[in-house]
Amino acid sequence: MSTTRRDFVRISGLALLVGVGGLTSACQDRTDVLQTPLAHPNLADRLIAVAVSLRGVHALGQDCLNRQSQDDLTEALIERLQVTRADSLGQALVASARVDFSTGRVYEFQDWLLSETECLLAALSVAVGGGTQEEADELVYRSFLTVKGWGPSRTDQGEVFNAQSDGSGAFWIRVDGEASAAVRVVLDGVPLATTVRGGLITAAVTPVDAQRIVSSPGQYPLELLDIARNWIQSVGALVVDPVTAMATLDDGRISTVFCQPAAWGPQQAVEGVPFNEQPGGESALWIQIECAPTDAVMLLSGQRLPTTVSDGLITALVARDINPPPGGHPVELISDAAGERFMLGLLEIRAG
Amino acid sequence: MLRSALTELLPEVLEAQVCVVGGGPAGIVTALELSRRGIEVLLIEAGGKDGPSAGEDAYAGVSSGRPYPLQGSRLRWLGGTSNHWGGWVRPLDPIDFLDRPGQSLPAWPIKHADLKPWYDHADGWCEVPAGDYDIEQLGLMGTGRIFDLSAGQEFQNAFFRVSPPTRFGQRYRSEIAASDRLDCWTDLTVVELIQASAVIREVRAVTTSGTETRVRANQFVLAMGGLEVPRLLLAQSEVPGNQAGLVGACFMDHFGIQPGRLLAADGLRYGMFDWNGQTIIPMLKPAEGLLEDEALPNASIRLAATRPEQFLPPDYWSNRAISALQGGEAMTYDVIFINEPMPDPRSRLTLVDQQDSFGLPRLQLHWHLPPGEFGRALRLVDRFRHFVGQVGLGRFQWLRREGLPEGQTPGIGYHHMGTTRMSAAPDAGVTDPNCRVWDRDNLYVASSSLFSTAGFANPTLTICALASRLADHLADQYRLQP
Repeated sequence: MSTTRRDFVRISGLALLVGVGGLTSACQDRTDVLQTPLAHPNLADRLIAVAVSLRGVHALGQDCLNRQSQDDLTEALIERLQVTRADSLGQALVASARVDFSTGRVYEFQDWLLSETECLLAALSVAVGGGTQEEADELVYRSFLTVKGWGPSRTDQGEVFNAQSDGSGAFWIRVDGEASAAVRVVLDGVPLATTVRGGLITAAVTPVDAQRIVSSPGQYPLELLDIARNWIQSVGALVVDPVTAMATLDDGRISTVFCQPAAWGPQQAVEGVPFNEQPGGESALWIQIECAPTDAVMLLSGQRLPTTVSDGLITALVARDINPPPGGHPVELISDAAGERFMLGLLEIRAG
Repeated sequence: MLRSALTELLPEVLEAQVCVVGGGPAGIVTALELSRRGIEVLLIEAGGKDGPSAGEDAYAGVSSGRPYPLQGSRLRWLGGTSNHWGGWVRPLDPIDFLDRPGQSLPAWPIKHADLKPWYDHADGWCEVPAGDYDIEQLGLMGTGRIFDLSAGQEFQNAFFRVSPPTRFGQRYRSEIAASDRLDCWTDLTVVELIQASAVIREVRAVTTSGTETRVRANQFVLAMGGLEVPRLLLAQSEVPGNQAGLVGACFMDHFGIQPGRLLAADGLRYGMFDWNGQTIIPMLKPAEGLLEDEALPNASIRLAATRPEQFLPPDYWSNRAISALQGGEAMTYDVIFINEPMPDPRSRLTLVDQQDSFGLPRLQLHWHLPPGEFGRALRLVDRFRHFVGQVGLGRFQWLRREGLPEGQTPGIGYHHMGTTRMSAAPDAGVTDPNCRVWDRDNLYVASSSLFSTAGFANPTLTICALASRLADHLADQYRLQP
């Protein structure tokens, strides 16, 4: 009964693997294996130990194994290594690969140009159960650079950050030591055109992306990505602050102290019925406004109301004994200090 | 002096000993080199002092053959394209000046050695350290940033220096403005060469507002770049220098390809970085012997770290049994080739019937970059992929084995070269070795349009070197006169 090449390899590999366990334990340091002289009596075992330990060769090894015409991979390899006259196994492997390139004994795998020697070695690795190959890494969050400073970190809505002449925005990040050329700056999940010069990393945001970012207030995460290792680390966030327009005064001027109110109310009520009734029975008016001076006072039909100015909100109480008649009643804001006055609108009172 | 023809009273006639047309690096260097030698110079710039004035529409044109963005990258104001150039600086290689197999036209009529003193001079104009472009002197070997390659190997380390970059219109403005020998007019477009037999008597120049002047000089230097110089020549009823039909012919630009990936040691820096006080861009290039023996094009090869590829991850190259990396990590790189184009008369600028607002006919560029041109570049790539294996630097993976189909534009440098090529004899070019238009006594060119061949190096340093050399040549003529 004849033994096929595939069987031979498998049997040979299994048989040798028994030896490999002992061998690798005896040679804890793989350097020793690579330094094995070519005349060593157990060169085949040492070669297999090297093959077992290879990383990133599984796909290649499988392909080579399928296409391999050698009956005994170990023997075929040793034959090539002896020709190199190198001092050690490691040197011989590398030298043999170089000779392959010089003599046209090359092998194409997924458009990679490789030597027949490394193909044999990878095939042997897979045949004897080695040849690990990790799946493509998931993105791993880890701190791989020490950030010493970065910017810009803030801009106003509509204002491109660190604007360049072509309308693009730009970031700078300074890190300890020298950053890898594989580092990319990522803004809001989008990798940017990145330049690494020593410890200074700069990145440009295209005009289109920059406009997209600054058109919407919010926080946009800024990260560093090492595309070679799939590592990502947070740097911070670019804050785009909303810009509120200033209010237009009754005389047509633009206010210097009042923002344009976002909302106010109530705007309708029923005669004799308290509106937005407070615990003391008073009615109350409110204004949502991003900025207002502390001396701001609200007026109802020209009458000053007790007013409270807080962050983003102005409220005013309308005493219980004030009962506006049906019709529209002007609601206004004034600042005596700024000399400004403007009307928000009319409080409509319907007949009860 | 520095004046705008739009805001200052434009005389009916301007006069000087030498008139330089075009205020980019070539024109500014020529004009200042002459004025420093005591020669009266008029420098005429079509654009404004600080930005593009009206008239950029003049650059619009049409292209045929392989699509080419004719208006791309061009700036019409004092300083020209240097107002946004990247600052890459490197002389052409000695072999770039020599005839090589496969060229349909002869290479330069001058040698690298002839230009060497002017290259040293040009380093100063471009504000980079003077000295040979010898990577050995940088002390990078053994740092892991570049491959440790020795002389005699098929591929060599080399590098670009990086200018600040010099914005010529800004950097040399104060000298232009202060010079009593140099009169610089902006916003003035030269539209006609008034010729009498073999002499340019004067040129006619106009503003966007319609005012006109005549410029008289003993010598005229056209320094408007690789597109506008041939355009002005072709627009004349008698085209100077066209005895061989080569005005506008042999248009070249450096074209890029990204043919593959390289798996190699981590930490290689074949890109821009600061090193010992200067900014450099290391690269690889083919050894001259390889180019001579194999009729291959010159090229620069840069590496850019990229994402690992699934079939041969960086782990593979960190196996010491395969790569001989001494315990180091590996990295995947994109490989970028910037290639030398061939001068080919079929790649040509001509004029169309349509005119711009100054009355000059618009350009048509037929860019002839056939698949064969990519084939030469890809043969070099093939040598490189074998080379890295032979010397154990890494492993190469093809991403593109074919040239770009007709109809597609490759990466380009916007380096407009070759359209008034310098030659040893009138039948092979437009200008003589002294940059003088062959059949005109007093018409010269200072521009990348002079390039007989293009190498791979960005052209600014060579432009400045040629301009310095031309200025010296012109100044010699005055020294010889009583």
